[in-house]
Amino acid sequence: MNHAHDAAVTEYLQTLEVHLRLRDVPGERIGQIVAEVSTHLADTGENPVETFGSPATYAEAYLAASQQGRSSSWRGPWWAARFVAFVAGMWLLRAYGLDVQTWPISTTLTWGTIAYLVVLGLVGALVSRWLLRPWAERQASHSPTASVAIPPRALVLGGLATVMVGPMLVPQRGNTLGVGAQLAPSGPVWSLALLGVVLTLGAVWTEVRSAKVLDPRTDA
Amino acid sequence: MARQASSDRQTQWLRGVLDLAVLATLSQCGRSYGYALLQELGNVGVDLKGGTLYPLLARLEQDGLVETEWAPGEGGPGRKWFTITQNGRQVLRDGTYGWTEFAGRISAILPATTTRGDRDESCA
Repeated sequence: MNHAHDAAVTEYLQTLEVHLRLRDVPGERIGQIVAEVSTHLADTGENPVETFGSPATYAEAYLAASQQGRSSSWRGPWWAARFVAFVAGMWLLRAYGLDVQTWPISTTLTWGTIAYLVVLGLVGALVSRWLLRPWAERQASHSPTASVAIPPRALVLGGLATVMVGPMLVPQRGNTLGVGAQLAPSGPVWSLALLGVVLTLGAVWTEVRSAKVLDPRTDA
Repeated sequence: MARQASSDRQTQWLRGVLDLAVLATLSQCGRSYGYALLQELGNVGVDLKGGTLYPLLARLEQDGLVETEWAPGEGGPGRKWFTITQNGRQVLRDGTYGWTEFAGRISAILPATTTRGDRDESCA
């Protein structure tokens, strides 16, 4: 094997990683697929494109072949759950955390508010995935090695846009959307702000962890 | 031209039984990894590329027909080892029976067609 072959393999593996990421494959799974290809090419010295096809073709073929196990190789539902958590957290922070003058006032969280935030988050997740796809592809093509940062940035970008624009398009009626059942006993406003911080940071942290590629050969 | 047509036909045949061929090879080897499986299959005239084998192994893994483990190779880098499961052995047994029966039926037809064709007789 020569330097040119090594460079071609490195470029192939980076591009494959990007194409798997753009298809919503979790970082842990990406690490396994890339390591498998890498080991094979190290064993054989074969040309990656001749053996596996183009990175886009192989990513597509791999996922198509394992389609039955979509739940374990596709992070769509988890992405949506994290998106809802981020939107709910930011919404709570915006509603209760920014106006410190309201802090001493007791407040309640209702099922109606929760339902509103879940719907807002799910719609925002779907729209964001669709709108941010071209942006993600551009980012990935500019810097394949930095593609690991795309999912968390997409979460923050899409989540913030949803919190800013969503309530304007679909305003919450009253504070409960007509569903006034109290979710928890009345508590100080700061508890909701704290909940907002936990949800927001938790969503970003789990997204960063999910996006991180783990090499199963080294567990790093 | 004829060679190409023959190759295409074999590719179509193989598509239906490739999972059985891989399971059978794994069953004989005990435990193996991707490149070694390719070599074993190549030794019996089944030439595959990595781009075909690894996605298939992923499907077998997700169907619970093989188990996997990442472990160091002999003096080489860590690699993914595959082992056939009990479910995999059952699928292999059933598939082997089905294939043998099917291939037997087709084999029974093919020479008969030739001789009938030679004699220009009706099947009815």
